Amino acid sequence: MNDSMLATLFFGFPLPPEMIDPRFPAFIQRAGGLLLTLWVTAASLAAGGALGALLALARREGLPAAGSGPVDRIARAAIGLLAGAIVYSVRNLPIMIIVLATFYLPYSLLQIRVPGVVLAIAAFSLYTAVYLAEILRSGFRAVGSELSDAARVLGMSRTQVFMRIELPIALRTMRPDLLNLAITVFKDTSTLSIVAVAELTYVARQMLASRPLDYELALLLVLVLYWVPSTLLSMLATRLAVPQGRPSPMRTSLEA
Amino acid sequence: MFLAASTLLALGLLAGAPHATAAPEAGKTIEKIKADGRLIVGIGQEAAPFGYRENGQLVGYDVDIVRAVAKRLETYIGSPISLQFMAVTDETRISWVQSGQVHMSLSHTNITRKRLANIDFSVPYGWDGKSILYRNTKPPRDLADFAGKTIGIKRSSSAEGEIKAYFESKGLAPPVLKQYDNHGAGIRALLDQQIDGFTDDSSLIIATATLSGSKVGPDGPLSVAATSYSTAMFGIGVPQDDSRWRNIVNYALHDLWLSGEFQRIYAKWFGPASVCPLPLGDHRMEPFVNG
Repeated sequence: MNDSMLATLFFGFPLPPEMIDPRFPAFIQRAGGLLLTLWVTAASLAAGGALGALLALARREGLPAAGSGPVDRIARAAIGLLAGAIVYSVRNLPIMIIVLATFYLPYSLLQIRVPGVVLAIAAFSLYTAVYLAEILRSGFRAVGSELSDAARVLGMSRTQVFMRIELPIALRTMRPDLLNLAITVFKDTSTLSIVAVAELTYVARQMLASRPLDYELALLLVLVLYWVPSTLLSMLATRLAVPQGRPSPMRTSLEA
Repeated sequence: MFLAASTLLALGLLAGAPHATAAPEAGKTIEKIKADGRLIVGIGQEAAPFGYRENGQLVGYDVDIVRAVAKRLETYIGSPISLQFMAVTDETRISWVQSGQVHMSLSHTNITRKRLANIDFSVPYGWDGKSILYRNTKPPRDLADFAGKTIGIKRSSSAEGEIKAYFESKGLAPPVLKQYDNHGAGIRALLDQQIDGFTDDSSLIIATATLSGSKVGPDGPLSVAATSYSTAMFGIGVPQDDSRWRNIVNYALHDLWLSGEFQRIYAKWFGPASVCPLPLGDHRMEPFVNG
């Protein structure tokens, strides 16, 4: 009996045929439980990663532009302002409100009807993008202009400065924040249970409706299923971190 | 500058939401179903015996009723329709009807005047009463015995106002209410003696208690107070101000009643041999004359 409980928490309940929207691939709608939690997390980190990079780029001071005419400068400022508005709006809303709005607005404003898993990925991509944009911004700010200026003086191109100087230093500063973001997204997908997306928490909720007294056991299993992947991610973060003792070539050049 | 722009954006979002709820293209549900060929139904999956998992499969009174209703609706819509479920929770079962993203919703929803301010309901397809589940005592308890006691209640249940009103109308101290996420958690707390009683629609509390292995009745560990403090009628939630749609939903229910299919489904879930017997008593559907 407990075997089936664990299997259900891993893969979700079988869906009745009416629960599958025929206009969308069935396999993306069939996933449930921890599998769906992981799938929403991974997809959101990927899509949110790309969107977040764009947002950060749009907000970056000294954005590279084709020209420097007045129209160009206004366009640049407008894009920066829009990106800033998105970041500030989403960052200042609780995740539960973002989830509720994502499941409500597309239909009520545009009459768009898509499977819950798609909306779930949309909500968490936006969430990831906004936090990532902020992490990227502070990460690249930490590099400081002296190094980049020095590299330019030495004859490096813009791309070279970015790839060889700014990116490596920024990545090292940002690594803990990036992994924290991944862990946060993984755990926060539990808010999707209020809109009946069949991720781990919602599957547990359904389970408790028909097996009310397995409350502690279900809770314990859910706890472990969230804890293990989060902890593995944290351990990965520690392993990936640059050993503290050895000075990196960059730091040497800075101190020299 | 950013702050101003983001405030504007946030205000725009907030302003857009209620605006959108006001007009889900009133009166267009039948046309939308015809054009799309699909009937989108919000269905609850977290409450026995209405919608819950049995051996992994989604079953329940609401599930059976809506499958039967959908078949009958084809006659009135005049073209084949496929039934599409969208799972709803207590947080979304009303608001998704309001926005029109589900054409109807069945999630053991009580018809209340407060909810009628936002959506419409079909005629009732289930009748129940709200009472209190308690650990067996001798002699059995009556509602009045729970004055000032601690009573568990499920989150977003309409019971909160009703139980307070009942005790106040009797001149008794209203019970202290304690919220639980689901019926199972509340019944667990009751068995663990953390609360003196747990309340909701009798069918829900009896079914959940029975599924948890606690027999309800004089020879089991739990009992339900014999009287109800409030009646409950279950209705199918439909978008507001669309009487053509609501009419054919009612006709479909009436047809089920006239054909005896309704009674068969009812007996399966609430008959003498079911988990929570709930005799129909004087309750009946009153089909409109076809003429």
